[in-house]
Formats: sequence, C-alpha cells, structure tokens
Amino acid sequence: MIAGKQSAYEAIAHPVRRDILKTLQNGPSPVHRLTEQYSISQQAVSKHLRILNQCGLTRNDRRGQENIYYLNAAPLREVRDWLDDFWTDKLTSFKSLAEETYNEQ
Amino acid sequence: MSNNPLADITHDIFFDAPLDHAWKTLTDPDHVSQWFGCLQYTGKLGDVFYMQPNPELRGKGDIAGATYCEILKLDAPDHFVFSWYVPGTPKTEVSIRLQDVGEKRTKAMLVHSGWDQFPAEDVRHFWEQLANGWKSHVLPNLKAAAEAG
Repeated sequence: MIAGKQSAYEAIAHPVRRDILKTLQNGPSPVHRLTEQYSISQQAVSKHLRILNQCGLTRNDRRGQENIYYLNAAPLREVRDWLDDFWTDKLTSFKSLAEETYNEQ
Repeated sequence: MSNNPLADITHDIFFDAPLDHAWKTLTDPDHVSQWFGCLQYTGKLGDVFYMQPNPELRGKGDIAGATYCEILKLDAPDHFVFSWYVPGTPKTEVSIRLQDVGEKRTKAMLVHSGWDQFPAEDVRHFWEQLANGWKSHVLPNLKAAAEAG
C-alpha cells in the first residue's frame, strides 16, 4: 500500500485536521487566522496543514505576506459513480453465484 | 441516482434462485468470500470482516489499509446488515434485504447509508482513497473473470 493512501485516513482521523477542513468549507483562510482558532502553536497548526496538503485535501497559495489555504475540491459525482459501479459489480457476482449454485443442485 | 453526495446509495437486482438459497449465498462463509472477496468473514453477529483492495495483501490475509465491516444484523432469511468504515472515521452501514418475488425468483435490495455523518469534503476524500485501491485492483479482476468465464 502506498504511504499516501494511509496518510489520508490519518488526516481525516485527527480532530484538529477535521476541524481545519470544516473551517475551510466556509472559504479559503490565511494560516494566521487558522492559528488563532486553536490553543496550539503556529508550528503545530502548520504541521497539520502540511499533512493535509500532502494528502491532497488542501492546497495553498502565497500571496505576498499571506499564506492562504483552501480545500482541494473535486467533483463528488465521481465518487458516487465509483460506488455505484462497485456495488453493481458485487451484486452481479452475488447473483451469478446464487444462480450457478442453485442450478447445480 | 441522487445528485446529493450524502444521500443513501441504493441498488436492486433480481435473480433466478429462491429466497432460502439466496440467503445462504448471501451469508454463508464459503459463499461470501467468493462473491464479496472479503477476509475473515465468520458469519457470526458482532464479528468483523475486512475488505482488502490490495490483492497481494489479500493473498497473505493482511488487513493493512482494509475497510472494516462489523456484522450488525443476520436476520434469516432476508436481512443482512454490516457496518463499513475505515478506523477513526464515522461508520457507514450496508443493508441487503431479500424479497421472494415468486416463481423461485428473488429480489436483493442494497442500501449503503450514513454519509450524512461526514462533512462533504471528508466523504469525497474517504472514498477517493478507497476508490483508488478498488479501482486499480478489484474491478479489472472482476472484468477479467467475467470475460474468461
């Protein structure tokens, strides 16, 4: 398993990172404003942001003195399509096996 | 299909086998590993089985990176429910209900629910990660097996 895949699970699991993701759902935010929300050091917040970036959950832009983070949004549609295919395949396998084993009786 | 990414995922399928046989195929440990491809399925209420998308790890029985599924309901002869989650994230739920539709035919109805527990961005990334594994490993295998058979 590629390390990046594991780390995305870790990213979602951590409460501060989940909270940062929720905050960024309301729009992009500079690092200093995110830091103000938590009782942890800017260094710790920066570490969380770095992990979120590495997992592809967020992106950042430097605009002058500001370092602005935003969600890396992509179409949710793709995920739904994938899940639909996944369950269609599993149910088709279930159907085939049930019919085959029944006909063999 | 719904446009709302947090809505339930639903699928129905009909097949030519009676209800009791469908139930056995759906829940019997020998059969479940065949159609579902999971690890450590015991067919006992409260036990956990695992969906391992990486075929190499699956071959070794290794559950690293797998999706966890706890058996929540085994109501013979028609209702099978299990949770579906990655540890540390909210548990979604998969319900498969069977219905006798006569003439030795059975309808299976799948509902995958619980997406409203996640902020939309979390759902997307949770599934993206799972999808990457399943897309690259499972679906091509299924296609190959279907075409060969």
